[in-house]
Amino acid sequence: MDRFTSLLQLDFVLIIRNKILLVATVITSLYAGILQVLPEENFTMVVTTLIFTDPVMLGFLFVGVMVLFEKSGNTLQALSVSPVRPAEYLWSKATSLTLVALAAGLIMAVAGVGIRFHAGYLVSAIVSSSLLFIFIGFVGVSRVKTFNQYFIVIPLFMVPGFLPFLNYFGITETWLWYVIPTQAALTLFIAAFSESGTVAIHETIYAFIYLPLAIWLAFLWAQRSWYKIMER
Amino acid sequence: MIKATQLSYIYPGQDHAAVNNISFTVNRGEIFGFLGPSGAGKSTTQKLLIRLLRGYQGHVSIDSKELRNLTQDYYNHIGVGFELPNHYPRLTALENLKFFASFYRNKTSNLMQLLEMVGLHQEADKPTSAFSKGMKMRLNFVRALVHNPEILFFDEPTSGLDPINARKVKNIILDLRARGKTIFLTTHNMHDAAELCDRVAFITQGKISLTDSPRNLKLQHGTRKLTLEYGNGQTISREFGLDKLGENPEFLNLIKNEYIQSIHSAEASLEEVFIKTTGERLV
Repeated sequence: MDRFTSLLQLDFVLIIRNKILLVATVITSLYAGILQVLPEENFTMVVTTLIFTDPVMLGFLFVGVMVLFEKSGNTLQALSVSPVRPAEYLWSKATSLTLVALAAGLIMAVAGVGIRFHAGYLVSAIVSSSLLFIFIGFVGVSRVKTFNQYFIVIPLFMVPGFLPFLNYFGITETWLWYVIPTQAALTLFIAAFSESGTVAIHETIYAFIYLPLAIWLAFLWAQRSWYKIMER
Repeated sequence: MIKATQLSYIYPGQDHAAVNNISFTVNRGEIFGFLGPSGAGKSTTQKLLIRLLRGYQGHVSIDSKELRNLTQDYYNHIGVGFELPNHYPRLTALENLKFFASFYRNKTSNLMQLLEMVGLHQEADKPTSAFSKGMKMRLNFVRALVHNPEILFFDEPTSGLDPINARKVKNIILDLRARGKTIFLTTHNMHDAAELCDRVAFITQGKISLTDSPRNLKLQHGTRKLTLEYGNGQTISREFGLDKLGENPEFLNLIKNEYIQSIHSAEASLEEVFIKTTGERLV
């Protein structure tokens, strides 16, 4: 078994043993239940919003929980003197948690709209927003030592991420939110649940170029944070 | 094997060096002890050598290759036993070892044998959250050995261990040296250092004040005399110089005719040498 596969296996075991999968199942069931009883009015908008928040929250919160467990157990220190590269560690976390988020997101989508969604857009939207927030979550958790401190940090990272919803809800109408990568993710979520299955071509191009770029930058930021943790 | 030249390191945000212009060499197949009180810079030096800390000044070479130029492959050649336990608490002892072993490209050791070496084989399937500190430390110790590395770094390897398990760990360290491993040991336990190390370096306030073998240090800083205790029913104590002791008629007469209770030479202890040369106590 190669090193990345071993790491991935370790992360899945930790996700199960740390009861992260159980919590994700409970949250997803709760969301799925809410989607079942939603009123007709603004249904698509609410479905889009709920399914958007799921991978974002799962990614950001769960990477924080996993890393804080590792920090408190000093296992990050042990890993850092093994041949495991920081990039392998980060991508293993990102892959395992994104698979959990993807399963949760698809279950919620089916619970909300059946199979009346555009799978390509939805999978792209969930995967990209999950990866983005896992890497940003790692940056956030690298700066704290306890869960309490992490909960204080969360809004600092999350609030800017949700600003594009102001346009979506018709509260604002500004191009400024297009600088925020979550606008690109939101574009894909909207496309996934839209009637025609498409959004304007320039918006699609924007999303598919801007999101990978943002994920890559977030990954580099997370990788840099890894070395900062070791210096503390 | 390991050569540090004018090595210095300042932690980010600090204005003084934690390690200040130190130089030392660790030869292949030797146990080199880095001794000093808490905060002296010994753990920082070890963190530099294992590349947990980067951005040092000076030079460190491992097998003649500059440390800062080495890749992640370096970790296939070294094993590190930290001062504090670091295991996944929800994994068993064996699972912890298995996962770490799977990260190395080297052929790994028999994990159950490793656990048996430190008396943990019967606890192999227990989660480490149920382990005592001593058990976790023993697991720390053997995890450094899973990939059969050439260089080993141990930070206070007997810390938190009872005397029996401390003895086991020390015997394994001596056995590793016999198998040609190079061992860098940081400790403030002078008894362990005197027993295990081929050479030691004293470090205080980030600087090395002395490097030599424990035997040389103890002899150089001791007094060339012995104390003889003898007598039947009572204890009489006499001191004799070691020079030409075999020609000293009084000494020869006593050991021939009296009931000898004890004979002690007066070499210094490593702790006494440390205090004498650094002016600091080991805490």
